Amino acid sequence: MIPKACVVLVLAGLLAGCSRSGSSAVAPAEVVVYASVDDVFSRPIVEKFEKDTGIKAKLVVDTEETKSTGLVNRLIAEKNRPQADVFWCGDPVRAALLKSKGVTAPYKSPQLEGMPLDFTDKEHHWIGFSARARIIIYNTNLVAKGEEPASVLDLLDARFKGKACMANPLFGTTSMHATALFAKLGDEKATNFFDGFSANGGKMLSSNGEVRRRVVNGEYAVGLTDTDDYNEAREEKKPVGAVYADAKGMGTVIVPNAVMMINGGPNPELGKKFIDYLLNPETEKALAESGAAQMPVRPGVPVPAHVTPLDKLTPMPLDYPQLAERLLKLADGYLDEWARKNAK
Amino acid sequence: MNGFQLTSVSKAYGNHIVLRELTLTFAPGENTAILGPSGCGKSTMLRLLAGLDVPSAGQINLDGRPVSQPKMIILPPHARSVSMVFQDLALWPNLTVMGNVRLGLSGMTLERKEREGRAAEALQLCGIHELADRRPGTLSGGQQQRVALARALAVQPRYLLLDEPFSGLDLITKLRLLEDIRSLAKERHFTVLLVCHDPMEAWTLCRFAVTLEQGKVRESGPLLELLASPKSELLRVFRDHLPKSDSLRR
Amino acid sequence: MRNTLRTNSTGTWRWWGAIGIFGIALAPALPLFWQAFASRDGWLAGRGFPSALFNSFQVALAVAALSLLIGLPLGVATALYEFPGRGSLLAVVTMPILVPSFLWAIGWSALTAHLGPDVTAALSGHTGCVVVLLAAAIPLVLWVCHAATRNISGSQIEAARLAGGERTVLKYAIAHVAFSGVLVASLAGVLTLADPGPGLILGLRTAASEILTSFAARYDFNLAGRQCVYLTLAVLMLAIPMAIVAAPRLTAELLPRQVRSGQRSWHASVSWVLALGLFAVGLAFVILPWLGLSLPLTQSGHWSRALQEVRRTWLDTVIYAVGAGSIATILGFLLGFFAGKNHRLQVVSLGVALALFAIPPSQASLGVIYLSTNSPAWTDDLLRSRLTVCFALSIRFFPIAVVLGMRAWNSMSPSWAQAAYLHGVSPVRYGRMVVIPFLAPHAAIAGLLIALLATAEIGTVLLLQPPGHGSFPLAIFTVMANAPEGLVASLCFLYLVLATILLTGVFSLARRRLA
Repeated sequence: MIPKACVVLVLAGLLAGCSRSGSSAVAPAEVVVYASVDDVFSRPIVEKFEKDTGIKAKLVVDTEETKSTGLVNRLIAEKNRPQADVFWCGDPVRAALLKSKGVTAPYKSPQLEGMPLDFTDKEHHWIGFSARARIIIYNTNLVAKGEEPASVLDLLDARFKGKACMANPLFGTTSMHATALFAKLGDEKATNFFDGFSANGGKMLSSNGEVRRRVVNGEYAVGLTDTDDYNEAREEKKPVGAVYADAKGMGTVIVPNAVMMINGGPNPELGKKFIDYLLNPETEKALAESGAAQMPVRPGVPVPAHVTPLDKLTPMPLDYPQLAERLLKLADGYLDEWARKNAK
Repeated sequence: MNGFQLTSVSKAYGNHIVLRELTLTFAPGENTAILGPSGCGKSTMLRLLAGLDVPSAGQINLDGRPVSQPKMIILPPHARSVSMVFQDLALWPNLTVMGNVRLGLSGMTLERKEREGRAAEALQLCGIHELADRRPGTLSGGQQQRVALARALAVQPRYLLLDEPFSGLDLITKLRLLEDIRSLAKERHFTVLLVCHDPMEAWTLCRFAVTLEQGKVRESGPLLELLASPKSELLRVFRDHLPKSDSLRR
Repeated sequence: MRNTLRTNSTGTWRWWGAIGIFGIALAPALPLFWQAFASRDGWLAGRGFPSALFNSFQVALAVAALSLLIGLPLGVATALYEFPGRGSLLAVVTMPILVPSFLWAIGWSALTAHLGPDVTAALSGHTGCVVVLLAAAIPLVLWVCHAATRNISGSQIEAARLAGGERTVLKYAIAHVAFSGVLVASLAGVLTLADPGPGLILGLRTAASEILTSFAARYDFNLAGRQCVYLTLAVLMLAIPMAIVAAPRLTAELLPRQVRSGQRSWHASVSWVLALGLFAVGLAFVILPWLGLSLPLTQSGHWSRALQEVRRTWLDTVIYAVGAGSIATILGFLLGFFAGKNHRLQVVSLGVALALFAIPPSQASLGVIYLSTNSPAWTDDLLRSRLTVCFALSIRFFPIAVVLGMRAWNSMSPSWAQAAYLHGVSPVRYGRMVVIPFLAPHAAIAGLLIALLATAEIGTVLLLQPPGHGSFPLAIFTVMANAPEGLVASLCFLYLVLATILLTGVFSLARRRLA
């Protein structure tokens, strides 16, 4: 017989656990932060914010990499009565999308002073900071020095036949990169690139992380991914190198983080404090020093040797709100078709 | 008129007619066996008497009062002063022997002390007082029968309905139980209505019998008289194989 | 009192009760379904959806067939024979039920990446999905066939043994449980339809991954809603006829009867073959992907960070698991009560439960978000709390509770209630003293099983967790893309160890309570 006391304890515990403390009715001294930036990078920053300000922060993390139905959907669904005060997004395209859906609220942070506004919404619905860049990762055992690809278009070369890979262009930063190529090259050249990639035996993998793994283990010689993925492999001393994709030419796709206030969030004042904290030079420095190896957007923030300062790169000029619109069309059109054909 | 009276009682489940126009009387003190082949409606008749089921047609009276009418139970089972030992005994497996008897008494308005007394007495009467703290699953078949009997007797019924409770028991245990019930019925003044396939069980416990065939009464009356000129094949075969000494004993 | 204790009684109240329970289970998904068809896009399901649906059904069919082929003989044999290493082999084979499929997919992916491109190519697409999804389908079929075999009486087995030895025993038992096996294998096939993970990781466009793409890449809730409905309808079309055919056999074979089960025997060759067979299944579907997950541990483990994650999330994980298990069990057992011995209602309940399984959990979760967003703040304790997560998880696994609940209720003899009625025992007292204690161990096992399954569900927790209250598997999910491989491997390793411990607990409880 299961002791009655046990049953009572379990039920009491459950009720207690599910009750007020677990509810979303957040106490006034708490800020709720949704983040689609990987937990390993976002949590230490949030914990430091709590320590430095004494404000309690509750973090809900998702990752675009693993293609969950995710926080962007949750934010859209919660629009009429949001639970979040702030959304810390891994890329500005989804930020622009949320703005177009009326999820965000404008906030002109005092920390904007001294920051370049290239990566920030003109109406301050979202603010770009610490950035990643799209890179071509290569296996140093398979690609000789001087033979590294410099442009994504190099992946169509015969020397990389059957040796190149990229993540599913419907998701994450790869989708942003793909859309940027359509914006920069035009529809015809961009479709030629994707068709050529397939024709050259290029492989579509499930995520940027998978691209990193497969290049690291030598299954593929080159792959398209992000700086943070490369940095993980570099820190683990894997035989890989990286080049900023199209650094000479059409420019490298820069993927800044984007932080935004949620329209109608429960604690807007605390939300603002969190945004100010995030835009602080110290936070950008911390993110540069972390495994994410992100490039500070603010000039003059010191970075470790393995992080290239943003002003040393040639960013691809991009209109993020337009990219967001274009991405939705492509996700329902060419890219969807391409992903379908290349699924196996 | 005392006892159970069935007047033109029929019972059907959907299109399937189980009992057809039964008119019978079970008088107090007349231990009666209800015999017949499988599916002839014996158990259904017992359930009608107990009030577990309603007749489709006809009426059942107890001591002259109507207790069941078509689609209506007028007097609920626990107010009929009947008790029943089910075919599968229906012992509540998670309760102890004492727990089974006590819960069986919970429908009666009794003082706690009296309830405890009755339960203990019923266990004593059935010879299982030493098993009071055991669960049914840990008992032998014969012991389980006695628990079911104790639970039934604890409520001090006027009618004890037995629905083939002895099938599966070895001969010695079965005969002991039958003898015990017969003497208890005499001592406690209750009437036994026994449903069984086996005329030997009927012979040991009852003086009266009813045989059913295809939902109808084939014959009824004192068992000895029925055996003298049996109409049903069941009693005919039984009579032909009954040892002479046994008839002398009765 | 009369009606309550007369368990055979039919009546419309049973139907209304069942409709009410299914209504509760369906309610969260309904707003999105409605919205999906009311939108101006009409009835479109997206260009690629039919082919993705076709892929899904191919995978489901393969999973059903192979899980039957492997699970049925193993289930029968484990019920009939003793074999060396029984406890540990069964625990290993059962483990995939408790682990999110994406972990196995990643494990395979990591292992094949290590073994080279040929192996990777061999284990991608259809094949990869089938291998990953089989891992959880096999134990499901195995255990149901095991239970059905235990319902064969000892004397029947002995008669078969006398007639033709072990071969006849096995043939007889397999024929006896085949129908239950087919049914549960189909259920396992249906379960795969709602799982997008393996398809995405191993490169196959399935209906579930298509739905996910509609949500996550196109942010088109209406399209996703319509796709969910089409998937559910497709399953329903298969499930209802199957339930009609299956229910009578199910009650005859799967539902317990009061029989003396045969003692498990030791037979030298059969026992060793069985042990080897189970080992092979464990190796192929559990140990190898586990190896893949653990490979990075050979270089670096991040144990302190992993333990920190466990400390941060264990309480919420337990609350979600216990809550989901309790609510699903209550709903499932209530449905079992309403279905009673009503054959038609049992058929309908099984069919609907099967179809409910096919609804992707994100659909219900987003429905709950809509509901909570459009409700006043005072409903937050109900609609935006950990209780909400528990509820959403419970309706995901409620169909399992339905089957187990119906099984438990059917194992109660109707004469128990009749005896209580005859003795004038009040229904409340009868319920308290007989029904609840009798059902409690069955409910505990159902609750535990669902709790374990719910632990492995990620999507629901991600969408509905109150801020700051994530679960442990979700923590793995959110770090696995970019965290150091050693950390991911440490987290996965800890999860698998904890799952093994929990599983051992369930086994010992089940053995003690239902022996």
